Amino acid sequence: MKNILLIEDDKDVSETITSVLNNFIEHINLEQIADGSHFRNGKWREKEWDLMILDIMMPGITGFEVCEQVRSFPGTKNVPILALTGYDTLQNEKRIMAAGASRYLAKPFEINEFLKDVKELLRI
Amino acid sequence: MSIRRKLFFFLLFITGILALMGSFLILGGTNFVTAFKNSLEAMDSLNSIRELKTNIIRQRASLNRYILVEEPQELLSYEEATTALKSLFEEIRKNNPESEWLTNLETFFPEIEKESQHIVNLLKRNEKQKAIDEASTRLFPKFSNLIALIETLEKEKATEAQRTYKTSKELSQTAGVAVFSVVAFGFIMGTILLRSLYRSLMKPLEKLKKGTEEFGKGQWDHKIELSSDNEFGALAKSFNQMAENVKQLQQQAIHMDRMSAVGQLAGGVAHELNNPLTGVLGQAQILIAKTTETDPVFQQLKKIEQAALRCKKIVRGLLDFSRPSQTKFEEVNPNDLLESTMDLCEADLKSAKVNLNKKLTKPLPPVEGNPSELQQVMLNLISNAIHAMAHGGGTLTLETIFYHRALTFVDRRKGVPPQEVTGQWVEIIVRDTGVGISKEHITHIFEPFFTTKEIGQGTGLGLSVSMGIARKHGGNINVSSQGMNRGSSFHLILPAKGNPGHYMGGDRIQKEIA
Repeated sequence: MKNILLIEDDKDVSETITSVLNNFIEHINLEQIADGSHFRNGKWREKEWDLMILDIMMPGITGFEVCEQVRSFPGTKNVPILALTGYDTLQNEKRIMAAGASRYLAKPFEINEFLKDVKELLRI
Repeated sequence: MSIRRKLFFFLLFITGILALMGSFLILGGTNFVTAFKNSLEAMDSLNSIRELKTNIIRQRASLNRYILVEEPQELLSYEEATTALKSLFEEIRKNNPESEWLTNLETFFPEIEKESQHIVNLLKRNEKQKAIDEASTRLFPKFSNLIALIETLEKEKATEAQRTYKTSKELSQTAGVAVFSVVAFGFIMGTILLRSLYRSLMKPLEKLKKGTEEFGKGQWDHKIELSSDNEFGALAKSFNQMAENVKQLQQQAIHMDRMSAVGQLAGGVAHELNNPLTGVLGQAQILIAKTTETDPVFQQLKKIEQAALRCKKIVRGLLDFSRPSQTKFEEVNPNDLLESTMDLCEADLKSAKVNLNKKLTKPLPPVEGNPSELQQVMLNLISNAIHAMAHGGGTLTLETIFYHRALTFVDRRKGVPPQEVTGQWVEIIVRDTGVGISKEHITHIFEPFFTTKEIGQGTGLGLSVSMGIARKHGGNINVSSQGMNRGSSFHLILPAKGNPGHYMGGDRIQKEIA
């Protein structure tokens, strides 16, 4: 069973990602954080994660900060992070990769490229 | 006439008038002084002659009385008159050493003196009757002749004195009239010239003042109408040029502000659209994956997917337009990039029934740039070319050339000087035989959101973004079209690697090959 944490505030995107993952990848446990306050309470540290899918632009907290916090916590130091953004710029890409993201994908993505990245990061 | 020249002529005129006045004064003054001197000399001579005449008459009268009454007092009076005459002669001679009339008179005196002394001696010897006779026959006629001569001289000198006085008076009047005329002429001409100078200075100054006031109020369209070819004309021309430049800069600033606002808006809209679009595209593709081609909803789902992908492309264009330029440059082979771009367009070429004609120069110098951005430009130009031939087919010609020369970059807006950049250039030419571009459209095709494609077929950002990328690479895109249905040519010009002369131009600049 692969534990995947989806950190995404937009309902359309999170529902789509949930559908894609549930439909095309087996044996996953998908949990979601939809805003910054839920991330800041630190409960996400209580679980071991195989993958984090992270939106860069969110209310309450930015994806860059999330990335840095994930990397600074020993338990999640090496968890693969797939960063997503609707505002695709070279600057954003560089910054999120510098903050510790493993992959970068611009919205709207085609499910094949999304699945390809997810599978590679989950090593399945 | 230039102000400098006018001032020069004015000073020249004033100097001329002063010189003329000076000449008249010197010439007239000299003549007057000479005439006046002659007049004084004549008067002196006249006075001397009159004094001589008086003394001679006195001498004769004293001698006459002495002869008649033999009073010693009369003899003494005679001797005094004689001494006075001698002194007078000496004095006149001293003042006029070369006086002819004096010499003439002097010749009479020794004889008169001798005769007089003879008469006196006769009287002393009591030969009175003989003395009277001899005086009457010999001495007094001589006195009479002398006095007649003196009177003649007196008349001559009086006439001469009168004439010279008249001449000096006339000369002084003439000189006065001449000087007055010159002064009057100088005053009139000086006034006319000063008025002309004043008008030529003040009139344009007034216009310039008004122009600067209007300019200060922000009336950029106000022109200083000065047709004169002098310094003020040049100043007005420069001022108008400056006002035009400021106007252009202001328009450019407004345009940039608009573009910046459009960019921010586009960026914001793009970001907001991407999230729901992720849902549309993702859900459609999930459903497509779950259905087969025979399924009744499959085609509808595919249409949703295609529409979502087109939306993605449009949003991508908006983002490209708005995002800040940060590009990592590397060495790029334009031929290779063009070949790989063509691979992406192969399907479109076939479906549009377009023939491909490649004329790639090999080897071609590399350029320094961002491969994905340059490919985006090439893809845009090729896609546009294919689209231009979509309804009737045609030939797409791709050509690469390079050359070393000076290129003149010309800004179509007034006031921005052409910029010449020398170096080695690589030119990628995308030529089609499609619908062409009309004259009205060709000046607008690089403007954001300008499109000739049907609604939904284009965002109007492709060429604008492409031009921005070309500029960022120190190059440009030049376009030419023979007119409607006669095809178009797009020339992507990039500086070859090592070209020191990158062109950093402004907005909406067209390039012309020197």
